[in-house]
Amino acid sequence: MFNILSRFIKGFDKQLAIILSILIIFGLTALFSASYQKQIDTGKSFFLTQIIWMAIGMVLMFLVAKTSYNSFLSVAYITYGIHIVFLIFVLCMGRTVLGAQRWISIGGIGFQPSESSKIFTILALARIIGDNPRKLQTISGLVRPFLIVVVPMILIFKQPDLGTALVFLPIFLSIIWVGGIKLKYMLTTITLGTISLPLFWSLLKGYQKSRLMVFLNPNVDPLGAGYTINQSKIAIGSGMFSGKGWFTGTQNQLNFLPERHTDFIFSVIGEEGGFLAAGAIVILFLLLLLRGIKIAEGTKDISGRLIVTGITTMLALHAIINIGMTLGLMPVVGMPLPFISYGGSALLCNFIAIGFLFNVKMHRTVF
Amino acid sequence: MRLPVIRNIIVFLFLILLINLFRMQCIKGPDYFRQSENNRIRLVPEGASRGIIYDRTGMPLVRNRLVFDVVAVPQEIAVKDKTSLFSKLSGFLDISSEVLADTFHYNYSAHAAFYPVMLVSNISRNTAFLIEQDRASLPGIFVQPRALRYYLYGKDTAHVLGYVGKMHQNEYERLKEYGYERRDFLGRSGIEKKFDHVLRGEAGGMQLEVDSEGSIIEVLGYKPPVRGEDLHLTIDIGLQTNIAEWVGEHKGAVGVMDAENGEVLALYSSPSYDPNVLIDRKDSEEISKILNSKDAPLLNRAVCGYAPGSIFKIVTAYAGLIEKEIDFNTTFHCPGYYKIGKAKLRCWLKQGHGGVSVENAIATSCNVFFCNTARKLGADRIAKYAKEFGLGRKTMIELPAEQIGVVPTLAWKRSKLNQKWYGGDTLNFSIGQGYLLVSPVQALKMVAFVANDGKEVMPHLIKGQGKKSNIRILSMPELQIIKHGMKKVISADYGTGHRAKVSGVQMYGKTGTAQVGNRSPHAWFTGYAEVKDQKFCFIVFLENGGHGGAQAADIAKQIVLYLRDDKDV
Repeated sequence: MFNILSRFIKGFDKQLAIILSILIIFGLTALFSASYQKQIDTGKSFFLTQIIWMAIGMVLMFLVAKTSYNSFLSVAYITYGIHIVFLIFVLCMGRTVLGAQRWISIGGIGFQPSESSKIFTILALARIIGDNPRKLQTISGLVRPFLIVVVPMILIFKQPDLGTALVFLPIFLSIIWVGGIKLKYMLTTITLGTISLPLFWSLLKGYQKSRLMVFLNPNVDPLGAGYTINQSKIAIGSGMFSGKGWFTGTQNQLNFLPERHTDFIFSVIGEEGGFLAAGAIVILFLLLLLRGIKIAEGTKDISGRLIVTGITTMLALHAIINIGMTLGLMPVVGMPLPFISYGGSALLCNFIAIGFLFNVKMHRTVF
Repeated sequence: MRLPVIRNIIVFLFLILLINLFRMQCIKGPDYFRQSENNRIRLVPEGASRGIIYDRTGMPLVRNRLVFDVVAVPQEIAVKDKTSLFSKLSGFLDISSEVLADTFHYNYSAHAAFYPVMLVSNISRNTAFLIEQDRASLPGIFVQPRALRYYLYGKDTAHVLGYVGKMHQNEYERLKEYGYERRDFLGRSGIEKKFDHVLRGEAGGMQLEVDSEGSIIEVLGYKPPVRGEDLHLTIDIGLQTNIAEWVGEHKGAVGVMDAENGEVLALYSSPSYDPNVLIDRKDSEEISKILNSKDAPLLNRAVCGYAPGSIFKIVTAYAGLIEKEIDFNTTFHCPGYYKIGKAKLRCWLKQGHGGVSVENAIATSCNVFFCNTARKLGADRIAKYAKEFGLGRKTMIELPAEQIGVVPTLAWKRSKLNQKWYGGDTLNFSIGQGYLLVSPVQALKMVAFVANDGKEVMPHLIKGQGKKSNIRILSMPELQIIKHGMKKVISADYGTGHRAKVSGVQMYGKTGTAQVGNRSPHAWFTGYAEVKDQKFCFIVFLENGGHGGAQAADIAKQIVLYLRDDKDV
């Protein structure tokens, strides 16, 4: 099928498509098992809903890939601006309702602007740096790209959604790095960032602090986040090399793992599929990301290359943070595993992100 | 090229993931496997006790009383014996075993297998003991104590305090991030809702590892619960309960506020309900009575908008004076009606008031005087000053569901009703009829402007929130004239509110009688009293309560008497 596609579409990346397809099939298989108990209890088919989401995601992916990324770049500031307005809107609504508000609803369909804002911030960055790459060599030229990143970051941090907010920083660093920032400025930026960490800590909300504390010592909160980490580690570890078998993971099927169809689906894969399956997922993600880097290397156009760099970094972070969290290497921040976890907004955004990888590969100018 | 650096970082991080995965699964795997086989963990949650709410004198208004729940721990129930277990349990509880099984399945879905699932809440102490005695024959069934909210003054404080209730699934989804548990109670209205995050504290509990017999092998962790914070209200419970008694069967709302700092001493809405009935969930007949009554007892009338009638003339008078359309000496002749085109708007006194000045117009509540004033002012200028008095926006009192009311303007009528504004609308507006809607709490705030010579106060219920305001928003000389009129409402024999007179206390008042269709009019009585160098504003609103100078004035009189004689602050 991919052969046919690549014959008709110039620059179609067959490898990327194959890796993505395998990941999706893996993911659906795991989800079917992970949501089985919950489906019996609630009578809601997570599996079917997920397939519908995936179909929508793929349509969006193709739509994004079709129009040259240059068209997206020409409206990058506008789409960025619209997202800032969305984020402010979400924040204002959140004020009136008790607790966090990350969703807004358009025509009855709710979506999380914090997810898509990552992509549109990448586009805005690619545009501003691509328009005048030399500027990045000076300190004053760094100010505007920095502001582009910081504004949505603060708005998302205020929601409060710590995990998503933090993803912006590495994306920014990788883009300015590839964009050609001087090495000494890069080192200064990283040093400054490290120094300001204690300041950042004081801005955190109580529950955010306690989550980070739990990460450092899971016994701090044996009933809450600490419990989840412990159970997730037991699930993954007990899968051993070849796994307990599909549908036979005791941690999974006996309800020991909360959030197992969303944020902790990797634990289910680890338990039921063992190192064979879990390792395969890790390697598949790595291959996908290396493909992204490859596309970036083959793109001469600065903006195009920066889009691919930003998107690849973003996907890398999503995968690393989620898997690291289930292994107990990272704090529990509520980050779904791309293309595998159940859920709407994040899934659609990851498909759109992949759409941009295809896009740049197809529409870049070849010298 | 700088991309290889990024590639190397990604490869490096993924290697870390792979190595850790390998270590956990292939090296330490057997250990974890054993743990997963013996994964018998039991949670013993320990709820935080909710903060106590006190009145201004330190009297507690709520209590946490101990009740017992029956819970089931899924992993300790043998799957085959489920039916016999539930039928045995149903013998103790007078609930059919099918219902128990359904409740179990419904509540189980969200949690891990060792997490206690609520079966029956709030069982009698006797039943609790009986079940405890027979523990051995009921494996996996436990009796857990829990603190349940009890409102000491029941109906009297229902709308101020609100009540707590079980969380719905969608609320839980939204709040779990903030540490809420599915079994938690949530403030459903009033102070309980507005300050839920302060009152609730933080639940704790114990995580135990148990063997297959259910005996404890190891305590894996203990987290002590953190008690919720207490709240001190500005409410005077003595006055509050008295008001509840005085209002009796009437529908309406009554409020008393310290005029200088905005502390609300009493705020009562009638008909009221007993929140303890809603919490207990035992008396389903009483509950459905509360939920389905056409008198809407759950509605807090103190923060709902109603036509204010003549108490709004305070605003019209102020607008006329400050815009210099009338002054202290202006008199209009009242023949008992006001003619507009062919129509006649009647003054409430058929034979007419004769020549009236603004002061007497307030004292006698003459409609014709204010119609004349309104004709000169026009609706939009009246609306402007209504907003300055705080009408048409929230007072920000700490109650959920506060309504903003309506201050109509020409533009408002066009956009909302798609209708032209008529001259008659202006006249109605000026005497507090028509589209204008004011809540009793807004009326309190409005009259506080008069008491404070134009300074603004914020009505509030939490002690220590109020500051004496020094910013004068409205102009003093004009308010002085209105004050004189309001004094005469009570002190003069012809004043519409003379029934409220209390000897030894300087009082200022304004009656309102708002026409509402064919039913008996709404009665309003507002004003303030100077008691022992303090000023107290009051508002009495009786839905379909007849003339404002009648029963509403009587309640106001009793409030002032109480403040004079019984209260010592």
